[in-house]
Amino acid sequence: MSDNVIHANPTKDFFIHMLTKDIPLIRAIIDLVDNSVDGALRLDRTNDYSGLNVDITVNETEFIIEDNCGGIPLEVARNYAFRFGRPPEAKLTPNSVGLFGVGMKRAIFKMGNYFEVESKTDDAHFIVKQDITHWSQTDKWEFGFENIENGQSFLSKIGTRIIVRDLHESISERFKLENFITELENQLQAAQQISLNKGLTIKVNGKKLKSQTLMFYASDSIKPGTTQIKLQAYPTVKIKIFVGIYERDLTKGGWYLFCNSRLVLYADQSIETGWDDASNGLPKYHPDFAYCRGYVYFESEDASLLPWNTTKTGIDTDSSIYKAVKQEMIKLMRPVTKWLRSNLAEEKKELGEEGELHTAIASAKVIDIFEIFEEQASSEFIAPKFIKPDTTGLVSIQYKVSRDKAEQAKKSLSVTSYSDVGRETFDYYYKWGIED
Amino acid sequence: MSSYEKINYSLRPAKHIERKMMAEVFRHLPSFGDIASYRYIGFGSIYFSDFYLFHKILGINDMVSIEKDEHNEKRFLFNRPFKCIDVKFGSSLEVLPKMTWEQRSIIWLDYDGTISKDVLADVEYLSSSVAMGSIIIVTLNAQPERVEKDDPVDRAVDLLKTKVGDNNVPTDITGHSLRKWGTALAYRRIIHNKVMEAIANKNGGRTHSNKINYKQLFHFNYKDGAQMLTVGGIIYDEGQKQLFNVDFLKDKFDFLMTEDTPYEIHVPNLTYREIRHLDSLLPGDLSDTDINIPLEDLSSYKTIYRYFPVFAESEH
Repeated sequence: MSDNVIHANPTKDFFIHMLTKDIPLIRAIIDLVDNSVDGALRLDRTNDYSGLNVDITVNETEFIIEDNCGGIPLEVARNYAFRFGRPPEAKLTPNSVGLFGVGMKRAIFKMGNYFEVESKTDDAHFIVKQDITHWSQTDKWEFGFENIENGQSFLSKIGTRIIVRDLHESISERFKLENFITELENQLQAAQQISLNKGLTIKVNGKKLKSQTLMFYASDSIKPGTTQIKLQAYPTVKIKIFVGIYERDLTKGGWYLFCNSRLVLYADQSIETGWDDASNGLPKYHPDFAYCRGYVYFESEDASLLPWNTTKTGIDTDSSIYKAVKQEMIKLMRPVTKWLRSNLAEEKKELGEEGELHTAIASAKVIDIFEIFEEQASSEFIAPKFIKPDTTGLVSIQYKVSRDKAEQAKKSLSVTSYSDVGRETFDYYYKWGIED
Repeated sequence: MSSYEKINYSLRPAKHIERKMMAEVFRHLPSFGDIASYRYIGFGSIYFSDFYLFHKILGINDMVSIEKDEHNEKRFLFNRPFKCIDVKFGSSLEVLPKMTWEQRSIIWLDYDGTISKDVLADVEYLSSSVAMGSIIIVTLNAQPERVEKDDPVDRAVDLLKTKVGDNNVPTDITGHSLRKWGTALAYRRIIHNKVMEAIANKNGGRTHSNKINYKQLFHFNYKDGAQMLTVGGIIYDEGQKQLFNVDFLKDKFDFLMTEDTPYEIHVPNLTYREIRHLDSLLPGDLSDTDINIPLEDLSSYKTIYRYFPVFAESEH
């Protein structure tokens, strides 16, 4: 009977390959920081992370992440933290960022062949050390750990320390590049901005990350729009949407989406967030829209309800929660895109950057989304209308001349633009050639 | 307007000195074969000063000048000093990818302006395309950005990020660090990082002895009206490492800079008579000339006299 059995168990090599291939290196490192953030949450400090640190060391021989965010309780380590995937009985940390049970393992396997995970909590202090090549050669899906007595460890405070050595060659080569470190810092800063704003200190090779906040322009005549959504079927999910305008930057316009404390979409300009959707969406993202900003916050005690994909780098577009919210996002953003196109862009065509609308933007205040927001927002985006100057009876005259001649005329007429040359020369002819 | 319409390149003494210094180093690179067999690619403009020198002194006769002013083609072709110079019209961003790279080359991108995404694109393209033994050099205007008193502290950093992209600006650069020659240091670092990134990407698929390396040879700071930066080095593969001995060159040439310290070219302000007089005392000690030339100028002249341009006087 046992001859008619096909062995279908995965090899460890295959498993490791599949696990690590769908996530970019920097994202994997951001996931490790997510674990620290979840640790901070478990410490029951919902809005103040000051005093909590995450220290990351990245170089060609090793990767280390060390935090003082509570450590991994022994039972969690024994039964959940080193499992691949989250078993149903594992309790989710309320409002957590970690969800799928793969972050730590995936990051470690992605980077190298040897790891140590050390954790200190109030009642336990243990370390797991493993050579992965060795581990891949056995059939057992388990790791051994040692309890640590006094004096033998790196951790003096409560927290977690993960170290990866024997780095894969391609990883080691990337860790050597200053440009990689810069990119890592920038992406970490963006992804973890909520935690940074709550006071969490994150350092990369000793350099502290700056907290950056999301901003809007606001004034008496320009107001960001905001709405809060409650979904009947999902009462534990809170959703807030903010739309408005900020600096004209083609790469930074678009939608920013947060699930609990984690930034999941950065400056999204794709059809996933409603752009270029002919049926009931927004127009295609365009340089006119470089001013627009939309910020969407999903929050829930139950992280499994949030519409993120397994790598937490994008949206699960099949999520019914997301589909409902997307409609509201589009509705709220429409007045912004309309205004940018039919008012601001029109004014630019007629009056360059000197019109009333452009001046209103230049003199607007910059408000920080976390602070004085409530007073300055309205339920719909508001901005002044552009009134086209009355051009009935006016025509446009256009022609090309040699640059040298045009420059000479500019000098002789004492004007600074070619269009002024046109105007002056026409007026000149009209006065002397026709009026007289 | 291109800067060639405002400056007569051949009268820029610091640039002349830099050019001669680089030519000296090129002459002493026997390890990669005869320097005359290299191809030279540059931005000759209408003066072709670098082409003139490198053909005469090094014997290079495969030469390409890239010229972005496509409207005055005839004038550029007319001004070529030698027949062996091919002029390709278009921006370097357009022209370089259309060229072939089997032959070892010296490429000197002497840009008119400041750093930009296009500059980095050229650097990235060349670093991952040139034949082993090739030399890539970039010259940029490194004048710090003008920042107003009431601008936020790091406005200059924001401007730099707009110019090259956020991920190319190391995070420890501040508005303060960009003042004066700090901008030149930052540009050098950004270019260096881009070269390393490009070759790391290329190396992903290579075995150990085929891995590409870059060694910086030149890091010049000088003022020619504006503050200028030149940075450049040689691309070689791991297997040929022994052929290329920088230490020997460093002993010979004190202006060879392989790290982040620049070599500053100071051009002292001297009259023709003073230059001729000082020359007659060199090589040697200049400290007891009693013409009241500032000691600093004497010391600068002594360091660079061999590379100083030769001026011809005329009756006036």
